[in-house]
Amino acid sequence: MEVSRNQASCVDAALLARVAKGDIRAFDQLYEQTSPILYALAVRVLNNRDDAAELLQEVYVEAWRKVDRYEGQRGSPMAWLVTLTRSRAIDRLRAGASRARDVSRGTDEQTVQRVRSGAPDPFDDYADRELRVLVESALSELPAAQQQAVELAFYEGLTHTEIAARLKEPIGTIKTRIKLGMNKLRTALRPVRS
Amino acid sequence: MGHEQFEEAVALYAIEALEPQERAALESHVASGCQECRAALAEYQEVAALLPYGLRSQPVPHQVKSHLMQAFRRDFPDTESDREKAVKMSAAIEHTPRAPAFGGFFGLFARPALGLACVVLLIGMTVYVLSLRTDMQKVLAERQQLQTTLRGELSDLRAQIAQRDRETADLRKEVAQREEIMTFMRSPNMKVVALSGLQAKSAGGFLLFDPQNRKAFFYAFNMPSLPPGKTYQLWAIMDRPVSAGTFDTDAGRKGRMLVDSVPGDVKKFAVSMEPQGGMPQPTGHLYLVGQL
Ligand SMILES: [Zn+2]
Repeated sequence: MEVSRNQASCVDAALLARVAKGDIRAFDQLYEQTSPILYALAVRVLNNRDDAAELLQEVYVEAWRKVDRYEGQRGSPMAWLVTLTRSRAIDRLRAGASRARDVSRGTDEQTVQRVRSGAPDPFDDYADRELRVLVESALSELPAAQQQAVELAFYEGLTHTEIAARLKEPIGTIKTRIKLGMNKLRTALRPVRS
Repeated sequence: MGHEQFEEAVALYAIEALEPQERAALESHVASGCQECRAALAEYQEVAALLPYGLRSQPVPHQVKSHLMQAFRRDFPDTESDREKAVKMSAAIEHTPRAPAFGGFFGLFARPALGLACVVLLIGMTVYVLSLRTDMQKVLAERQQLQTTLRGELSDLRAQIAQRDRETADLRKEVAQREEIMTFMRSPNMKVVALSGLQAKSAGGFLLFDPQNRKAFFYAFNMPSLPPGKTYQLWAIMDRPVSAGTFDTDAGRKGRMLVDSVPGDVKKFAVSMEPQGGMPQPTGHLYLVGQL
């Protein structure tokens, strides 16, 4: 099998256009390429697999219904899907729809939940291995406090004020952490961005 | 408003960390035509969309896909169903000018338009037959898809059963361990040694130690994740450290260990990170330390 066919980063606007026309094979391909990442994202935000599965279904339905309104200039198709998934997951989180949380969730330190480097990932078949390695290493290069601030905003939908309150740190400190963290990620991930 | 104040805001905007009024201010600044901020924003948003690649992949439950495939078919019923095609065909035949009775076979040649109509009809039939074949292939492909999904669900169930078995074994182990801990707790001589974190301040541990039978139960929490090839090693320290065993941490970053025989005259306990299998003497950083 051709490897690139299964990579989320390779989803192109043409595939989306075929999905918009009701091409079920195109949808099948889109799903295979993107669902592992979008599901991982939903699980990370909601911290509940059942909720994440339900959310994923809603997101794909919304995606194919809105796909004809997708504009290529607003970033890659995958970026569009990630944004859609994240924002729906955070809406759901805020609505408190998430049922009983896994007991493992708790301290803020657990927001630092990344792939342990070197550990083989059984879903690498689907995943964009190189991209994963790059993002993983970019994240691990960040000082823990910066990574934590970025993740609290991105995965838990907190504003800098809320993060500051949660961590009992001055707002300015949190803003700086996010700015520095994002800046470093921007530099580190430059090679993978078109 | 100056452009400088927005440079920081752009990075925060991309991961939606701004407060509503700050967000609005940045949006209107970008809308007012600042190309620099617009470009930076696009770049940061791209970075944000890459963040999930740093997450551990999760197996997506198979039923998600089967539900979605069904919903997709409902949302996009075939734009031209077979019945509609049939209706169209008969309409096409209806509208084909009939050959006049007297024309006979030669009439076809006498009236080229009619000959053309036959050709068109023939092509139409061929296209129809071909499209039926495509539909058939599609149905077969979908059936195959369904089979794959079912097979996936079966293996999911098998995996779940295996998982339950593992969990049961783990629970049994835990119960046995708890019983052993209870025995410690009942011992009148039992001592508790608290260990505090050195590298990570939130890390800690305690050791339940019975000096009489020299047994100990050790428990550590909030331990930093172990890099591959590394393990934690507990040391009983007298004049020099003696290994009391190695332990790994679980997903909750906790470690537990039973020590069968703590060396006599021990004053201190410490935990260091060592290569897998442990070392005769500590070589790595100390993570926990506590005094008897
Ligand atoms: Zn600007």
